[in-house]
Amino acid sequence: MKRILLTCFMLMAMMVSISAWAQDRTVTGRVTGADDGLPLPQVTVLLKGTTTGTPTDADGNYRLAVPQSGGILVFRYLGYVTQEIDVQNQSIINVQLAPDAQSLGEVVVTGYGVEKKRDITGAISQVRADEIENLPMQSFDRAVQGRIAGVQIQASSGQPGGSLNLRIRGINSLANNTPLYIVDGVQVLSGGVAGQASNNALAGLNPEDIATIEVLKDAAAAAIYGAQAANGVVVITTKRGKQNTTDFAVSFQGGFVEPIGLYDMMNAQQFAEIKEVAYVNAGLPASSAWARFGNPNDASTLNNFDWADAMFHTGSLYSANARLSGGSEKTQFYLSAGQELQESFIIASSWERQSMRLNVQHQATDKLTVTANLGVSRQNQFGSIANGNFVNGPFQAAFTSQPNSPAIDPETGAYNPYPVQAPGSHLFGYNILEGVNLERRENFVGQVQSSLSLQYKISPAFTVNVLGGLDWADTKAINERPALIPVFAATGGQVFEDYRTSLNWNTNATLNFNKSYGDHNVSAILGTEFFRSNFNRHTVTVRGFSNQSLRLLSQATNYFGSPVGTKTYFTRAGVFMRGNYNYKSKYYFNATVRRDGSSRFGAQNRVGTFYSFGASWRPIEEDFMSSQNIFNDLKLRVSYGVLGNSNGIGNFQAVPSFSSAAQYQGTQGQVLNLANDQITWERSEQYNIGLDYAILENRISGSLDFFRNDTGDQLFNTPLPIESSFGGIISNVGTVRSEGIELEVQSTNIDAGDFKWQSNFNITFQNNEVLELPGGVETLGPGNLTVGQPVSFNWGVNYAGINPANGREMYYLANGDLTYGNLGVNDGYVTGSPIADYFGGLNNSFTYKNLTLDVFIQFQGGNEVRNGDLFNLDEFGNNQNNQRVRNLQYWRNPGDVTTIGRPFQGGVQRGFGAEFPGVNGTRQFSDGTYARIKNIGLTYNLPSDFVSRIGLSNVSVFVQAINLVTWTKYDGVDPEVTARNNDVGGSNFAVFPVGKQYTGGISINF
Amino acid sequence: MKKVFSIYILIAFLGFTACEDLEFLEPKPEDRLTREIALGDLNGVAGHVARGYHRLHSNFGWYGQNFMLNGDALADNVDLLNNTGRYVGQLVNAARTTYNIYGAAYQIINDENIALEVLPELASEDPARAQLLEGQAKFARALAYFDLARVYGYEPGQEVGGFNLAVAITPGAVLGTSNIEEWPRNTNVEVYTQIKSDLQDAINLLPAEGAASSSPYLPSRTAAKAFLARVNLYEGSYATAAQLAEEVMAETGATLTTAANHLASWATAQHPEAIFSLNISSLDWGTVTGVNSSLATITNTNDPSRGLNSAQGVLRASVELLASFEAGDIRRDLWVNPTGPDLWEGRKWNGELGGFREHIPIMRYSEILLIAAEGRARSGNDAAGLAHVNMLRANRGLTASTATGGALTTLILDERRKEFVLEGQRWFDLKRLGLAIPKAAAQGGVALPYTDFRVLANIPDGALSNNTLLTQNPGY
Repeated sequence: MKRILLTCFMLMAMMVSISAWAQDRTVTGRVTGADDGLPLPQVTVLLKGTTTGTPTDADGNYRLAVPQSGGILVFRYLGYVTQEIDVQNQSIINVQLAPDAQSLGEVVVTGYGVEKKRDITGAISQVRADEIENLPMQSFDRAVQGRIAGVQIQASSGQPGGSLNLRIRGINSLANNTPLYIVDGVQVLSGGVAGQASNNALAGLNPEDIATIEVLKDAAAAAIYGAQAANGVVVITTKRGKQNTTDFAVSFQGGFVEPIGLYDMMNAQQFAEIKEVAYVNAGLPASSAWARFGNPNDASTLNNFDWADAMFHTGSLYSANARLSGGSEKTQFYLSAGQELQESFIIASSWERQSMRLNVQHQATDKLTVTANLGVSRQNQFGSIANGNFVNGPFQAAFTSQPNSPAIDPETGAYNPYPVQAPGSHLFGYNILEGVNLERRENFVGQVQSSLSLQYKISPAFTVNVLGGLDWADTKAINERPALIPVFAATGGQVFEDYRTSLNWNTNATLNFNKSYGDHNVSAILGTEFFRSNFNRHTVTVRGFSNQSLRLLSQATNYFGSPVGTKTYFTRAGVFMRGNYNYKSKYYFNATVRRDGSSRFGAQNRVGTFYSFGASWRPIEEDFMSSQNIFNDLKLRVSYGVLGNSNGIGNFQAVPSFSSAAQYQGTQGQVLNLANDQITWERSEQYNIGLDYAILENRISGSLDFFRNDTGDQLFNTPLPIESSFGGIISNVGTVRSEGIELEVQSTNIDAGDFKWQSNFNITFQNNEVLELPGGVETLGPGNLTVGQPVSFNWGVNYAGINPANGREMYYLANGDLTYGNLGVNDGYVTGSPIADYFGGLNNSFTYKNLTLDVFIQFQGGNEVRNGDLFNLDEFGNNQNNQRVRNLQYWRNPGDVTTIGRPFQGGVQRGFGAEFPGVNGTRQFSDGTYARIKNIGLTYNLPSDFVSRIGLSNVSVFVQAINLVTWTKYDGVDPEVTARNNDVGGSNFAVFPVGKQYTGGISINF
Repeated sequence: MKKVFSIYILIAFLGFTACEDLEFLEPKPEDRLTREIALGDLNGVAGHVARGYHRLHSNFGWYGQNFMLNGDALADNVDLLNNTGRYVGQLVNAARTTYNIYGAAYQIINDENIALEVLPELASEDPARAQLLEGQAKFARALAYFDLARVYGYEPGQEVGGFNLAVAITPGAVLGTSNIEEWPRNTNVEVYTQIKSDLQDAINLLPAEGAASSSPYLPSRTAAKAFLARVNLYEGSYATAAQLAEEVMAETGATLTTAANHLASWATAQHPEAIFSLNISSLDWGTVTGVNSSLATITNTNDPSRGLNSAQGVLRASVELLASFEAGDIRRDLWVNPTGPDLWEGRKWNGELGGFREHIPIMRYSEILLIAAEGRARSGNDAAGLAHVNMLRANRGLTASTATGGALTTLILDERRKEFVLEGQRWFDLKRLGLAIPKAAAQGGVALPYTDFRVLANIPDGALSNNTLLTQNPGY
């Protein structure tokens, strides 16, 4: 080390002496990035035409001798556009370098710090603001869908403001795969926070306020988050003001939304036909069918009503955003306000958000900088019942309701009883149009995301950062079921209110070190962090209102059911350390270690150590590469680490305890919570080998990564003997492997003056496999987790189609024999997996003069989806539900070869001994592969001379469509919103599909 | 440089060691109790006892609904009214579509076992209360084992192919993982012995009717005795069954309904015949529990006038049941046909407490009367048996019978069919006697032989896969 220091000293001495000979006068200044205002170290400052030059220091400062006559200074930095400045008679020249979008030189936010992308050894993907600007997407996770390699994002509901599943590098955990979300240093809530509709805490953050989104994918990148890092980390940085500028911009857009590909249902005449056949086949008189469903041959008995037409409509949406940002040398601010309203394509479903953000940064002294970020939002949502075979869910009942039973009496305009001919005989007598219109299902979500941080520069090499962050969500959900809806009449009207408060805070302190010793660049960070998450919930149900316009709790006559009162919390604390070293920007090494504890972990295992190592090599800097002119950059990366995931443990799950539960005759019940005081984090061993490249003068660039995550100590609810009275106990057992290949390519295909065509492509191939199960067994039973299979797969019995002899459905038994039923779970087999084999996105951007066309396609494939709707809608007219039109191709005569069986009222081919398949037939499974034009947008920037003549700096107008075209073989409404997408469990009945949106708007910069 | 490293190492060391015993990471739940507090007094014990009773009705696979109706659907008493997918399998005796109370029963058993485990050390706090709780715990445990035994095993003496396994008797409370092991199925005789021992204890421990509470919603000494009578009937100890039943009739305050008030009795909150009944409070249900899962929603169609809005109306009387009523039988009038000429709905479960809710009688006076009748008739005392059955007939609008011998026992079985329809007894009455299960013509009309494997329910797959000592019932 001494020798390095000595060399450094000598080099500096030499430079000083060289400049001494030519010395005339000195120019000083500071080089910062135009994108983020951060200082740029190691920028080459060169006097043009000479060998005189100097690098900038860690703060971006330089000092260079120039001749009296001045000259031209060249500022060169990899990844930034080279700038030349005529010195003339200036002595201070501050320079802002603009990033070169085509290169690898961007700044990347890593855990607790910022690094140049060039210097990163981890796998980090970045999405910048301009990629998601003006997309009417409610939340950033929806906006980046398909845009990041290795990150699979799927809507779990088409509900406006609804939740999404974001999975980084596949499914690592049987318990929970939610990544960690950090917004401006604050760990924030994700997922649903209120109960009356699918909702998304992340939608409280206006995507227009986001500057960058970084996804930390591998161990080297994420290990600094220790026990929470195994599912990856999403780091979001909001926009800041820039020095010495003022930017005022407004944007507005409006449009409409329509449903996509709804089921083609029978009309009254068609339904009457199949019902008549079903009755007659079952030995019942046709007249009974006519009485209920009308006579197909007598139009006067048919009274057609299109339920789907009444339930689905064209919804409208608009958004308005305004922002003001700027500042002085010392103080910068960013202020924004947004208003957004989106209706759904289903009636009585909408989402509204108001958001405000104020980010302020102030340099109090030379050494101290204070930053405050404050985001406040309110969401208001009207929700639909979805994701279940619910008679009061519109995505079930809009299709199953009988077409011969009009929802409304055309004479009076009043709602009819359902079904008109025999009220109560179908769907619990629930008139879905009436129910959805009269019921109120509303969420209010108020959120504050805020942080305050101090940055103190102890010396050029040392900086201390202290941050305190707060993430607060206060929600109220209301469900009103007025007595006007017949099914609720006996309640006298019912109101349910649900109040939840989530309050998370975290504080961290870091000591950062950054210094170059000649060709040796060293940086390190040492820090500590505390986090606490509190959650409270209270609910109450009341019934009996003397007047149905009264809705307050105090106006009801009685309470109903038990109120819910929840008060819980968990804590985490950790210390961490990371060191980075590089030699000549050629060889990089980094090591991270974090020691993390959580109150969720069992007393025996409360604290754990997580770590990673990474190395990279940039051969582009080697001499042997200097003569080639294909590669502009080339970097090889490897990393290995051990990370944790503790999301799968409940707050006090490791504490043996007793809870209250249910009363009998006035005595409150009590139950034992069986606990394992050894449970702790899932241990994920993550390997990554990657390559970053830029070729052909940066025309093509991107990265290629191979990853493998072996996650052991799975938090698995290990089944116990049922006779113990406990279903299972959480323990750390089993191993899951998620591995894959990620490819990202950015290219400029054509750059011919006025016309430019750029592409962005990413694809991820993934494989998921259970490596080890509790107790070392090969399988947990038929249809259950099995070694060698993915964590999620479909288990079904092989459907053999319709017997041409008699029109009955047939299945294959495990031994290959045909049967009409009597199937057990052992007759099933793995038919496929809901986990996609590959997914990705392709964006093409065409620019001609001021006109830009973006076409973004998102795709996934190789997954198999089970569609529960087929149970209801393809039952050959056997029951009460309306049927898809294709059921008219039913079996009629012996010898008919058809896919639709013989209609038979009641469904069960009566006769003693008839039995049902115990598991799902493959008839309900179909290929979930799809590609979708997620976004197509046309933007026109008004000519700048015209714009400046009217006193503006930029005006663009745009039109766009979301989800315009979908290609798929899926036998259902929407291949994107399917149950058990990724690891999502739950019902595959009546999902809320996404819609097709069309908007147009204008964006003005003053 | 060295100094820098030294500082880092020092800070790192301090930080890492400080983390180890951080008070901040100690979980301090406010929403639950430690064992010391939870099981530190009789209130905690009472909580476990109560939890078991709540489970008996909150589980809709059990007395909340299925158990009360399966016995009719699996046999010949009912037919489908509206096809909502429910009871369709039971009506045709589809394999595996039968009773499933396995998990819930063992939960109740452990609720009560926890109470029984800690009671001895807490008894000094209030010996009378401890005695009451012990009696209640044993009563509930006996009920759980009895239902397990009759669902999953043959009654003693009625085994098919010598298969005599019932269910596993767990030895004690599971209070931690160390108490958990795999237990094999015990024989039916062993389980019956356990049930009778619990009930005998309950008889000794529980207060007389009215002493602790004037309601039948918690068991009294008389209720325990009534239950023991039922158990004796099932195992064929007819004389004992009759003896116990007659004692109950003498002791109980419950009264036999008459032809005049029988119909109305089903719409009263507390059934006058109830010796033991499950109480459902408005606190116990969710907002759609009634319309989704209650007894009344299955057996009634939409009837806003009685608060049964959108009732599902799944089951109606079978043609055969209706044909079995003699002229004048008041119980025939429990069946009405508001939605169509053949659509006969029962009016036993009326949800009279509002929103489909009602208390559920589990043991009624008329059952005791018929146990006494059958017990006497099958133990050689036809005269006493006939007297008992005629007492019921007189109160149901029927003339006295003079049957004896086989005709008398057949008459008693027929009376049970008509008296307890929609109370889940029919299937078990046929099964305990080793009789074939008749089926309605609408279900094909071919009887299920007693030797058919479906007479026993299947042990759930989940139980088998987690307890290697269990054996599945034959035929599954």
